[in-house]
Amino acid sequence: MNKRFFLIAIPVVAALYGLDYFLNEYINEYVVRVIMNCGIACILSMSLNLVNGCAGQFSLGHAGFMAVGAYVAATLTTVFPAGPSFQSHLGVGMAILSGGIAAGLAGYLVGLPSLRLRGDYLAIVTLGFGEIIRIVILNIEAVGGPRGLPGIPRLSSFFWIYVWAAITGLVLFRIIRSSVGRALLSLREDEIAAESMGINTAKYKVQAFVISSFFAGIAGGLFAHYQGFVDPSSFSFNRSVEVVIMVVMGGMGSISGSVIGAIIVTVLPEFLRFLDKFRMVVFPLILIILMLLRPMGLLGHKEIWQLFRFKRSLKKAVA
Amino acid sequence: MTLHAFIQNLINGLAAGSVYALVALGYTMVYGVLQFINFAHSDIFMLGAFGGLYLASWLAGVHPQPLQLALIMIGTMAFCVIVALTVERIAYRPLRNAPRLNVLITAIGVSLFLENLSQVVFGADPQLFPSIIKTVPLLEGDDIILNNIQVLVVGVSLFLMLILHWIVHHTKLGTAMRAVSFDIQIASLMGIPTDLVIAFTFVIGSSLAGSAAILYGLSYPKIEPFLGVMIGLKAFVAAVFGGIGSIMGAAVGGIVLGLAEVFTVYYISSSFRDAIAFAILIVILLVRPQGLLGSVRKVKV
Amino acid sequence: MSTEAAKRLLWLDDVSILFGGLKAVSHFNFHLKPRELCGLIGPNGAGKTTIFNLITGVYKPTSGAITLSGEGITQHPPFEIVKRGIARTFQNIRLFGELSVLDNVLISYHMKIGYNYPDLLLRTKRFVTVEADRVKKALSLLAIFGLDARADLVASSLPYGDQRRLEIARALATEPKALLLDEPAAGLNSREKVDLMETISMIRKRFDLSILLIEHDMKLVMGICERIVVLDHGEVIAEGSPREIQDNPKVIEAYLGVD
Repeated sequence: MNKRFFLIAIPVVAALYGLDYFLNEYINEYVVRVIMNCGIACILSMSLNLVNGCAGQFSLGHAGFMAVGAYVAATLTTVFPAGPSFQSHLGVGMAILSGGIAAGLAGYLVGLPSLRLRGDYLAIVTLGFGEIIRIVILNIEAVGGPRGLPGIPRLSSFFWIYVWAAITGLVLFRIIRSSVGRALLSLREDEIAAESMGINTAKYKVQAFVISSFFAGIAGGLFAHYQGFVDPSSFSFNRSVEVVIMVVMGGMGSISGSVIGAIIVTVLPEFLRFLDKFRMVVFPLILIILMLLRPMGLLGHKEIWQLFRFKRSLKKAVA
Repeated sequence: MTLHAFIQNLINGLAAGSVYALVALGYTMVYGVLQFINFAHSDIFMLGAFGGLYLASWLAGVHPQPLQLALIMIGTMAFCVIVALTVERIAYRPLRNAPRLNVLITAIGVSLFLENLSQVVFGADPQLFPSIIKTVPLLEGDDIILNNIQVLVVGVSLFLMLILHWIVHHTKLGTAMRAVSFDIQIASLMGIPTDLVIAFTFVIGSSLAGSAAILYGLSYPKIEPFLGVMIGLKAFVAAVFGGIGSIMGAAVGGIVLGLAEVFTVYYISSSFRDAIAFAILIVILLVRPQGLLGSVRKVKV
Repeated sequence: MSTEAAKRLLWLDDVSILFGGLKAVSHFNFHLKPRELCGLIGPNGAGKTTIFNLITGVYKPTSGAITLSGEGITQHPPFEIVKRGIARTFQNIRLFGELSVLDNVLISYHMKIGYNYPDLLLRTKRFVTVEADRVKKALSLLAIFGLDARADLVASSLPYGDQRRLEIARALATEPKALLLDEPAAGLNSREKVDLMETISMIRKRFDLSILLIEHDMKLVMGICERIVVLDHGEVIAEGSPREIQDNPKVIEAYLGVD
């Protein structure tokens, strides 16, 4: 923890707080909702990028972890007898954190099969886990089953969503720029070579899953306390696919790319409203064209600022 | 549980499983050749159901009924083949040397495109598939009903699978397909026109999906644009269960899945109907990742 | 530890492996002494790379035991074996192609415990110093191979010969006691081969380690190895100094066949 960190963090937090006030007072509700959805999407895409983009483990079950986070957090604040004591900013924060931890545990369980499976097989298993989580929730009457869970206190504000987005970005970025991140990247590049260089591939795969699903759970909790209502259909396979699209569109392994991908995937449909019912036809078409013309995504493996700075001076890094 | 109920479930499961098996074959064959999950396959199935629905209203005047059904089925298969070949040519072939993840994402994109386009064209509301053949109970005992549709479904499926088996194992084309699935590069060096073989794999897979769609429509006459999603996932699970790339495996996997589902609904709860497929999937992948009849491919170091 | 055991850094005791009924390696007995440079030769398909895969834990032997410095490593996973001091290169280069040259080497330093999650999340002083040290170490290692100036480049963009050298550098970064080189001269021109011979001798002296070398280029093997083991059909058919091997009729037979 250094001085520079606080010099940046304090103004950022203050700015977010100010923006929160500004949005509530002056901006119409529709725009605010899109901005909120962007923030949640950013958390989801950045966190999935750790597993998909960095570690190269293709996961199609992110919505499942989001569901765990959303339902655990919402249960604490809404269904749980002591719920009302959670209905403050601090309480909701604790509930959301609990949701994240629960999702992290779920991620641990899903990470285990990833030790034995590769590529498409893993994709289909994570998809299966995601669906199972959803179906299990469908069958829990205490949280409303298929009808969903209404009456969740709407306490995730712009401020909280974006503070969490910033934390997610910072944590993931620091992980990637460390020996843990390099180990994950080596998994993506060549698992056998990684193992032969002393990387405990199993351990890192599971770690990647846990960290990634923790943040997906946080996103779920924020989502629940922003919407005021959750139901199992919000966490279907399509949601997982949406997040994968964000990651691939931005560029595998690029955190800033994920942010860009999240914003495009969230905002673009709003701009395509004039297409009316063809809107959802054009969207996958854009995805296919992107894959054909720019398969590495918008930023590739790079971060956005690396596109403008060509050579990193190593001498400086050592000194 | 009564024996009668058990037998009834067995019959229902076999009929449901045959449809899964036919769809699963399309997944397993494409996976065998190109090593990717053709997510759009489920939507080829869905389009087949709609194609059959429109064909049936066109051919409503044709008699006798079996001829009408045969025409509808052949027409639907042709329609599915055209769609699948178009998809392969436009979306998949340019990506033949791209990372597998890109192909997978493209397949998901194609799938979403077909689903959403169908929603625009056919509307979101379920439509009723015409009963081309009247349901006639063939065997009616206490608690056991076996009707002609069920026999038709199982019979046609079996017939198509036998043809497929013959193609793969007793024709030059089948040999080429097996060679391509063994190693696409070497196959191409041996003078096998790989693009053609791959296209033909799509032809077979999609025509099976088309026939499966008609059989499905006859048994469960409610058709909607997202019909393929669940069936496709389950058929893929069936393919993985049987051992992906194995034709026999896909057939066995489909039947097992159909039975498992019907019995789950009867003995546990209908709300876990969709979960059982994934539970089976996870168990099989943990216990025997290569599937029931699949073979292990050692990664070369 | 007895003096006999001390002479053995790596010991393969009666190791066999079956692939679907086929004996790829059968009753293989072998030991590598500290600081020894030993060659492993044999016709294609003799089982040389399989032996590397057995030693490094990629394959588990059907029977037999593998011991490193007196400790059994037969059932260890590959990453544990690297930690205990065996590093390797691959016949068909397996670099982390999309990562930088520097990152390729840094990954190998990874297992030396340097910092934990709180350190890296909070960018503590420890994190910063450990990272800087590693970069410094990696660059000086790359300098030995003349790659330090290109540390920023993506590994797959290096010319072929440099990729081979980078693979050796990456293996050395794990600080091994024994280095296994799988056909390091494959695809190199004659000038590069001479350079490689010098590099291998230099590595052994400078890093004070044993080297086991699979190679088809006889001039190279005969030129630098002290001892050569010849393998055919998964079995040892000859062993000895380069001179002894050159004159061994069995070896000539294995390579040229008999009339």
